[in-house]
Amino acid sequence: MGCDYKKMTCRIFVMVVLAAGVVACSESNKNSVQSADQKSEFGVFCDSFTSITERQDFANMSPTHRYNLLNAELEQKLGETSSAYIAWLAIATANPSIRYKLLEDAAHSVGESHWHCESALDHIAEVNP
Amino acid sequence: MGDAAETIKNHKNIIQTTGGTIASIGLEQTGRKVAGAFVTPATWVLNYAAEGSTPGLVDIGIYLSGFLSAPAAIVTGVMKAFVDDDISQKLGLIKGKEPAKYAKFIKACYNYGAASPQINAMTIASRGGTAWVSSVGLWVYITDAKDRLVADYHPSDFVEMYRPLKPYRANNQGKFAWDVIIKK
Repeated sequence: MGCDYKKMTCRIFVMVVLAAGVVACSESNKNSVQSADQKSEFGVFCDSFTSITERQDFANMSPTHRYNLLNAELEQKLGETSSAYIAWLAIATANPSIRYKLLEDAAHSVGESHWHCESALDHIAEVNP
Repeated sequence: MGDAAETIKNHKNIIQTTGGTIASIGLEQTGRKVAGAFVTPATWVLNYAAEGSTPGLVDIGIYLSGFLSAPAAIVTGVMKAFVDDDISQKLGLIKGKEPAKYAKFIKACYNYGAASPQINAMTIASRGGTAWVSSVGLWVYITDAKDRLVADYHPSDFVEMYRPLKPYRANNQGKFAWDVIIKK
């Protein structure tokens, strides 16, 4: 490593085979590296949000009641250190018209670049602390 | 393996140096077979090209010998050192664009919490602070001299900013209503 290496005319990369499931580097990677059959954090968020909106009494609930139900489920399924849960706690008080975009941005920032949640798109403004 | 690559790719705003995009053959090839072997982020090692006393362009390469047997923590430590250096450089650039009396209180969102910088920026806004992403791609926020979040700072250079809405109204959990401002 160092100056001499840089002065070499070509970089030499030697690829090796590693065992599956080697952990990647950054802290946020720990939330996104998982086995194929595990749902992503924001995927779990979407499932929980959808289950709340599909309740028969959803329309009659106050926004705060919906928020409390959702939070209880997220805390149980994701935990306080989950990026998706942390993001939601912040986004819940953002301008309602931009909340879904913020959720997308948050998901993208941890590597879930294709995340989409139809129920959140439709109902995110109806869930308030 | 694919998820790890995507996460690191999406953090490119952290690992881009002032000299341009880091040669990222490791990133591009991660998760694929190259020369008959799989490439993963955990096998990266950093080669610094020193220019004077500070790193300049950084190459990310992969070595076969010895390093493969190193625990993941060592790789993580090396990567973290590099990220810290890069953040420090970018933070210097951002501070240089703000008034000196405020500049010293500007900090990187990367260090605010355990989530991604952008999520940390959202948390900061919900707690009554101002956070923004500058043109160099670093999410930052500002405090006062007592490390308290500042609600109404307007940075000179920003691409997108998160800030509490006026009149400032906190709910019973102490969270503030906030909004996004995008520079036109």
